Amino acid sequence: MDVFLDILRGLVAVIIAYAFVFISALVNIVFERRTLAFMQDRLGPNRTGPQGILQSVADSFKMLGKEDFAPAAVDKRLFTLAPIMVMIGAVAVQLVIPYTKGWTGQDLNIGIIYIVAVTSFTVLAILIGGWASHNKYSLVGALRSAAQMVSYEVPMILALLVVAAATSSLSLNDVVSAQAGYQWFVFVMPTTFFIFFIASIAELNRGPFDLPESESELVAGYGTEYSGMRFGMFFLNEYAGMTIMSMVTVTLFFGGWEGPGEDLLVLWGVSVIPFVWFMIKTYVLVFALVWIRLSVPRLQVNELMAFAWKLLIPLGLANILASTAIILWAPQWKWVMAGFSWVVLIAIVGLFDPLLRRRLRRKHAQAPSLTRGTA
Amino acid sequence: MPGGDFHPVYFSIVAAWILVAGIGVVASRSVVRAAVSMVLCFLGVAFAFALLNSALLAIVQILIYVGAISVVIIFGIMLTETPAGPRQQFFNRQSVIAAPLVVATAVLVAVILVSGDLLTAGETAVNPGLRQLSSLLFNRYVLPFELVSLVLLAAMIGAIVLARREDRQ
Repeated sequence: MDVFLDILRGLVAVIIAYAFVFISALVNIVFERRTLAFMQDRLGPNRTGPQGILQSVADSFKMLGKEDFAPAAVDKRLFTLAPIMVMIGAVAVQLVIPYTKGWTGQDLNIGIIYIVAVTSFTVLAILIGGWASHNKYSLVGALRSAAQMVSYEVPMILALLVVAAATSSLSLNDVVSAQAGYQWFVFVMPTTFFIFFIASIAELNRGPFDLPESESELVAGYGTEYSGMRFGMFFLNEYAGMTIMSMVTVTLFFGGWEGPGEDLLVLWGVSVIPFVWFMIKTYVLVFALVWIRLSVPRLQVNELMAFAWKLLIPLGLANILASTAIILWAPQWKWVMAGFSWVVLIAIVGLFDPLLRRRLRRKHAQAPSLTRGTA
Repeated sequence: MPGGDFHPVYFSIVAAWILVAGIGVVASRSVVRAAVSMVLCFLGVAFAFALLNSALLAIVQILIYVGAISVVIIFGIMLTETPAGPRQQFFNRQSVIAAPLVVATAVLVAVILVSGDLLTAGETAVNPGLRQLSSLLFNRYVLPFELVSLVLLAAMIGAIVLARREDRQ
């Protein structure tokens, strides 16, 4: 009977993880709509419930009530499999995240590799869904999405390697304890954070990297043929991904649950205050994601690939070389390196925009027919 | 470790999973479905590694086979297969070759099982630690490791050259 108890426990854990994915997605949707509305000087959804907080609950009931429809030409089995598969990553990542002091689902000693491994299910699900839809917009969207996610996985892993080298462990709990005393990795190695953060936005398929579903070009990308709750699964996964990815980022770069007042409130052996700090940091990052989406225009496909392969990956390689040299031979120069890193980072961000503008001007001069035609 | 205790119930679930997915690979009429079955089969093998208390192997299995190789295979199939093309079973003329292979494999497995030279769990490094693995890889086996990366680099450059040549025509 012990086995069945174990299976039951596993099932309960998975259900809680799914519930967290759904709830965080619903929260994020309202949060994003209200924040965008605030930034665009309009009201946004504010009718359903106090301040519109129940809007996405109502929306999800609407989606559940819709007909479970699949077009005639689709590959039915794969069409059904893709929305089921897309959630695996977001659910599975929660296993290794240290939510609060001494409270992790499973402290795997290879947590960082685990995160990279399980998030790859999303790429597969999107590819399968796009192909099964039997629609060229879906297929092109899926291929774009897969190419983008595969490309940006490389700089992301390059950044993760530096974190692993700095903690000399792949366990996320060790990553958090290596940042104790407010030596957060975002201060110590900002370039690594910069690379990781950009790559994670691209992994989430969010603006400015939302080409896979750029509405003006590809209808809705890989989700074109999906409707009702099957579309809802893709949609919810994307929004839940914001929270999950931010939780990973907070753990890796913002000291995890670290914050003042660690042991002030302990309920049933779980410290509550660190958890609150963890969620606050997570939602600051979610806010940053919304902000970036609104501020930066969408990239073109060629710019997208060039950005990953010509800027982020060389930068990531140089960063690994410099960081590991410091970690190995001159750990006392850590903060000097951090200062240098900040300077480099600010220089890159400052130079990037003028360089991009100059290149764009040159391109426009080279191909006048492309730009002067129909606007 | 996840599922650390090896138990017949878990094992039968995982074994059934791998078998069903494996049959799906050879019995599907659509190539993409076969590829997806293969992904599920790889996933089942990862579960089997996890059952054998080797989380590292399980995760590497997912990372490499599910995350990288399957994506490449599905990518390739999607770009070459036309859904409107002929759909028939593609392994139906191979029984002459397959039958002796299957018999030989069965005999081999039977011989190994009967001879009893199996490694028992816990005797050798069942859960190879990441540190031991990497220190072996970068000290004792550093030359083969570098050679493998050279081969991969050559393959990569070769692929680019081939793709480019087709582009020019």
